[in-house]
Amino acid sequence: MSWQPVSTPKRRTVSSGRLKAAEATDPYVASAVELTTPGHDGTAAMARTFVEEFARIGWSRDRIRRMFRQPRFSAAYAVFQTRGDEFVTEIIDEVLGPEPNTEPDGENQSG
Amino acid sequence: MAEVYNWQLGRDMRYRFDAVPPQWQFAAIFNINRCLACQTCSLACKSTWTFSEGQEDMWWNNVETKPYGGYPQHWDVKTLDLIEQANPGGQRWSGSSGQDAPYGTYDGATVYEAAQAGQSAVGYTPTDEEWASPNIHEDSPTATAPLSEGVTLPEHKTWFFYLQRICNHCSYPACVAACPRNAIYKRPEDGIVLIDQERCRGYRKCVEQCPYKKPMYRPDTRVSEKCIACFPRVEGSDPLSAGLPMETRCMAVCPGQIRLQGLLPVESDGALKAEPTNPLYFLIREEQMALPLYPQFGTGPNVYYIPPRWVPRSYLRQMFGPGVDQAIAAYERPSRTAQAVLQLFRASQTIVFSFEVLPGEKVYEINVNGEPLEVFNDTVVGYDKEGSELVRVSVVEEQFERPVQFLNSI
Repeated sequence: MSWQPVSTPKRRTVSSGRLKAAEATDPYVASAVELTTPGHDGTAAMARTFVEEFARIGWSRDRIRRMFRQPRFSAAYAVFQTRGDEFVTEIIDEVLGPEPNTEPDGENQSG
Repeated sequence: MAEVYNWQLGRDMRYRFDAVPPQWQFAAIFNINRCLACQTCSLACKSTWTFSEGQEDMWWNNVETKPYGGYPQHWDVKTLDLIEQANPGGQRWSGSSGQDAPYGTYDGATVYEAAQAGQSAVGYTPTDEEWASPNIHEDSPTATAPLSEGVTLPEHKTWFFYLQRICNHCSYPACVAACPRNAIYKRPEDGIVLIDQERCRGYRKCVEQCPYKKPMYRPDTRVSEKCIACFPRVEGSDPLSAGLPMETRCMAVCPGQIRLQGLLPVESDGALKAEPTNPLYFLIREEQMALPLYPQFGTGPNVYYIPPRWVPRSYLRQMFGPGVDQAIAAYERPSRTAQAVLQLFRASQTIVFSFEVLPGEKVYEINVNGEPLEVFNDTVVGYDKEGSELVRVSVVEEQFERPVQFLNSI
């Protein structure tokens, strides 16, 4: 029997349960009462937390700013993606102050 | 009903039994800010204590994603609602904080004061469905998609947090008050709350009336079970610690290093004895950085939380009481001693009874939200029950960032 080329199988679509559309009859679908928290910007609050945490362990302002641009720091990167570099810079300035203090160089680490 | 003093409420309250404080109280602090919801704690507990037939839905330790998640589902809002129904609009705090009332005074009704006839504490029995999905809505800050009818569910814009839960080994346990068989008891030596499996007849009053829903019914043995605080370890009977009290399994395995557990000495009136060099006492009472979960329930829970600082304060105040602002301020810009004490989290699995801070050089100064924060490379030394050195950790830690080419290599 001569060699026959084998066609590439069709790629099956595998759908994740998490990504399926929500249905009202599903007892486990998220159904919750909205918590009204006017004026609370969750993204800013999270971003502020990242800056505080990394500043406290000695990361420099520049290194923190670079972290927001790295996809492997997924949560920080999500902030950068959704709100942009200017927003990130504003948050960093808000937390650490606009002018550099006697800051750690934070450059002896990789990244 | 007896009158007992509850320092977390800043007042006396009604309870079924007279106060008989233990000599030591099992207590823990969970730093919510550092939890990654890996569930290592849940699995460590399950593989140690609840791996048998009949315990499939039994998670003495669970980590749930708030605000949507819960095990059992809706446990906290249902109890809050029952209290609100019993005392509409009355759940408020007043007064200023002081030594005897660090969070002010709770003027509302506790689970005991909201109880209906025939109950020691107000409560309800969760359904099987509510127990069946222990990790439901994990990582869900938003309701994801519009329903087919075009209804859009409310969204929480990117805030959620992980709430780590074990039995609180309460000072005034609702399960103890609820049990018609007096089968549940609080140990005088360490305050650990246990269910006597011989006396229990599975009436499930503890399941109904514990507001934290931590006693669980086991259908094949027809009795209830609950977290036993790994008491053989706390007693020091594990050979690993050579007779010294050791932390529980869920604490010891925590990769995020968010947990610290210990034993706190208790005064005859039930208040915590002032021991400023005990790391738990220091963070709970001196710094007021760690808070009890739903103190308004009135059970005097002994697991304390460093609240997550990205979550709306109104939500946190309901969950941890009026001490939230102080706790977050203390954690955002920790004192020099607190910076050192926070390093003791997961530094040892033998229980640290006291600490000492050895001063080091100032390494840097940063601004945090307009205020300076000085970081010193101090060394914190933890001592065991006998006063011998257990562990020595510095504030400045060695850091390692995985090289980019090795990301996700496992």
